[in-house]
Amino acid sequence: MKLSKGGSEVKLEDSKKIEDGKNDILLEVKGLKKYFTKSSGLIKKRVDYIKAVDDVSFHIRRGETLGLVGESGCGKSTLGRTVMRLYQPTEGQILYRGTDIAGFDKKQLMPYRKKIQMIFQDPYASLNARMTVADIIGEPLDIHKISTGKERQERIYALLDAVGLGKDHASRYPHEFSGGQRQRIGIARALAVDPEFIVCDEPISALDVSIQAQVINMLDDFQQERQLTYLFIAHDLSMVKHISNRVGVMYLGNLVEVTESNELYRSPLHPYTQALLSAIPVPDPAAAEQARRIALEGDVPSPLNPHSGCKFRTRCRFATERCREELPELKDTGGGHYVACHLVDQ
Amino acid sequence: MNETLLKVEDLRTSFFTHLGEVKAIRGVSFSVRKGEAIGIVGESGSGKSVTSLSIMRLLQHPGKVTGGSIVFKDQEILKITEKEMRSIRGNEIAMIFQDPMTSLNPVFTVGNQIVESLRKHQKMSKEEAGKKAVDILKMVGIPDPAKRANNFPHEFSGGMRQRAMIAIALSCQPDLLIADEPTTALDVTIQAQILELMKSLNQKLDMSTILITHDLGVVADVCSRIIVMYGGLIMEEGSKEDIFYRPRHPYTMGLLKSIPKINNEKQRLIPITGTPPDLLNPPSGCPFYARCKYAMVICRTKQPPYFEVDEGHRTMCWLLHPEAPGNADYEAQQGGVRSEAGRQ
Repeated sequence: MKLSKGGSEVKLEDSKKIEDGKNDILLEVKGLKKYFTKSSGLIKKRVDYIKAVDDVSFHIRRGETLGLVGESGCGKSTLGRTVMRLYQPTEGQILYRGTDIAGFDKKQLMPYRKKIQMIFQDPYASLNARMTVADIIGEPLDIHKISTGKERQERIYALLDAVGLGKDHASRYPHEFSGGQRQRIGIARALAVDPEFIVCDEPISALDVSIQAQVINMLDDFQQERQLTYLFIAHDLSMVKHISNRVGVMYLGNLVEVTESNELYRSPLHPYTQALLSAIPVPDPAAAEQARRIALEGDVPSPLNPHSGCKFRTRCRFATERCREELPELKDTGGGHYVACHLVDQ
Repeated sequence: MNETLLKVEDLRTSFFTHLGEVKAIRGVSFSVRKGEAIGIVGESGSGKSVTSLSIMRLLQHPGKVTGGSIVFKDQEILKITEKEMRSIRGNEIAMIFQDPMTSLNPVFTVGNQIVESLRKHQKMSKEEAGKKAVDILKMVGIPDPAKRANNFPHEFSGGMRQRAMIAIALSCQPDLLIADEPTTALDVTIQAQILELMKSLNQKLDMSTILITHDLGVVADVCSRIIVMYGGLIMEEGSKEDIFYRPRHPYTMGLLKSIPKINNEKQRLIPITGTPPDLLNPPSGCPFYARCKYAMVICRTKQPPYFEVDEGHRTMCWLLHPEAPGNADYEAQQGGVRSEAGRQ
């Protein structure tokens, strides 16, 4: 021990630095709810609530990537959009660097719009077909009055260069580009205002396999270069594992498990996470043969007036009477592994 | 097991657009044996879906088969009349499409659509067909099939619609089932259900399957033989072990490297640079030339022939030519995915 004293001291300092960095929470979401209303009936008006995001709490540290996975309809995209304040939250707090932006109006949000950007899923729908690439990337520069004239143009060229496109692409229109290139334009637009935090909503699911890796590597590089923080939403679990430091699993508007990404894949605690992970097709024949699938019966129930208790209980193999009555809370089981399941605390 | 059911030879299909001829398939040959499940993988534009549509003779204007032959049970599909084709389609070769919502008719009940297919192909009475329809729905795992047969497609969830599609496809006990991206629109847990179903039905009904997908994970699970397509050509064909553990084509190797491995610690992905070729003016040499790290001079000008690597494993790549200069990196990169069998 004596011998390594000097060394261990240095290490301690280093790890402390990392710890400090880790504790630097950029975004904290507390009890966030987003309900959509659906009215039906012509004479007797009835209003139902679609509880897309129902009491979700989590935090993201600076420079970290939090992955968000779940099946379609689980509310992951709604959560991303609500955090971005594209939707007005029904309830709850969105603390960005300690300031609650949940109730802010358009004007108050303006400075935050510059810090929080988004990359969308569909590169065909998210770029205005009537604008040139230069105008698409330049628009946020104009809105936030960042640069004009020659400087603006230089900046656009630099952004295009950063995402692997050339100057000659600037005057072209989106339809002249392939899916992968369009997604690069979308990324350049998001980066134009030098954001701190980017919500990536399924940025690669519309792309071909060989192009996906290009975009993922690019996002990785930008994160390193610009100390970006990502909320990465996707349904491709292996990609999410690859890019994220921590991963949250959503089911029917609830966050059911959040932990370090390796930990999640190594020892998932929630029965839903276990089933979800076992369902991933592995590109390895021997592993595929050995894989034991935990088959989930049926489909995700409708988020319209969901049932009592745990949302997953209708498809859960271990559901008990308690699951029917009580909604399990998201609790730390130790070491930052959060799970919302009654089975775990027994 | 060794009986050949379908033999496609030098198939060429083009789309005659106002910009010129888009050569979507440029000479594809493969065969499907009885009871076998083969997978065709490739990216969008590689020609995998056009191959299946050509076999079904469902190509729409301006698409046209310009050459080659498709022999199904000793019958040349490209030469028979439309009427004869109609008795094969649905009856002997059935197809499942990617999007179950657009391929089911929204104004008929699911039961009705199965009955329609049965009555058309098998001359059954209405009652008989109705009973059979319920049986088939039960077989594909639809709960409460008698009641569900009276539902319309919009009352089904995505996974159930795909099951209904499979039910219609299987209603006449086809010898060959072509599934074009059957699970792409579905969630992973539902995808797992559908793949399990397809696997079990394949065994139970002794039916051959062509599974078309872009997801390497899906073919690893379901298929025994895999065809890798790129730029309208088959780049590599082999058993699933050949493709995953002993790939020899740089494109196959690149594909396997560009997907993250769920069991491993984080490693940087190795993407394939560039984009697929424009099939309006297809390259005269190897279609993968522009994106290939190991490309040689000959690759640009001359399309490589197939080299037999092993029995049943062929690769279209000049690197395998006996006179090709050895490329140390290429040799070292072989091996594909490491077999780390099982997961936690």
